[in-house]
Amino acid sequence: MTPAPRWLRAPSLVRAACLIGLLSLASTAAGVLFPYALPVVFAMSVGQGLGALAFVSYLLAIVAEVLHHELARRKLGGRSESETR
Amino acid sequence: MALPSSALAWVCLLCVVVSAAILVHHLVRSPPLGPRTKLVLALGLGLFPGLAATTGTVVGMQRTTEREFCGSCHVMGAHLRDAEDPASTSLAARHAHNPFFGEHNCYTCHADYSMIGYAITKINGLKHVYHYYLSGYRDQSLEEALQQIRLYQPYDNANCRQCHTGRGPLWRKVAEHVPLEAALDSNAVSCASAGCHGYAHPFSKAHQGAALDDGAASTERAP
Repeated sequence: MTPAPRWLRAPSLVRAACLIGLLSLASTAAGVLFPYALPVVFAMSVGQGLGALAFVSYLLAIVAEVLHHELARRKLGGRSESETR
Repeated sequence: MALPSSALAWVCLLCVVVSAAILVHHLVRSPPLGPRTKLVLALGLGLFPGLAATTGTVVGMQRTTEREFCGSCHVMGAHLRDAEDPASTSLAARHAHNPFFGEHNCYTCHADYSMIGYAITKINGLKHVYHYYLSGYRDQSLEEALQQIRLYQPYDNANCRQCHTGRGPLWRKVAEHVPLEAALDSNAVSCASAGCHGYAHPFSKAHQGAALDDGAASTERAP
């Protein structure tokens, strides 16, 4: 099985989630501090979309990490079985 | 920039700051993805941004009902100035001076009060933003805007009747009301027309020429 590309690994996904999350937070703060049409509409549409994307990236990172550990465990398990033979 | 006056807005900003601190800390330090880091990130990417989004939405929705927000686009400048002018006797200004309407006078009179009225009002608000930024209203002078901008539909008399009964003995005492009852119910005649209680925003009618002579029902038609 080929290893996952670098950008799909947990640390990269978490870093991406943090960056996207910061953009989302900036738009939310702008919507509150600059209460005019465009910032408010932007915060409640694009901003919240980015926030959801950041959270999904974080969840993907957790899944990727769990899968990575599971694969590593199986690999180690297979090696130890062959060693015992 | 305006410092928020509502407690909810401060809660939103607090959540933003806490969340941003967690995310920046993770980006700078890059700690290993252990259980503690995962939990802290769940707070920084889930709980606090969720709270910020919820409170930010409530604050934003409340803000969109304020007169200052409606007047923040220059094409509404004349409407805003008229409503805030203590010397103005236009229907809109008289309502704006009433503390029951107060800062929310645009929304109170123009909101749709049907079952899904809130959603419809907000969708129409999004249409306004679209027209302002992408459909050319932003580049129009105030004079041009006053000539062209109309309500999407004729003004609904039911909005007047939220406060004015429109059926009581005092209302019936006015000789013109009773024969117009059916026409008022169907919005064929507007309460806010020249021959009745006067235009809500009379200065805009001067720019609309024919609309003045068009009779009561033509008050602020859709484009």
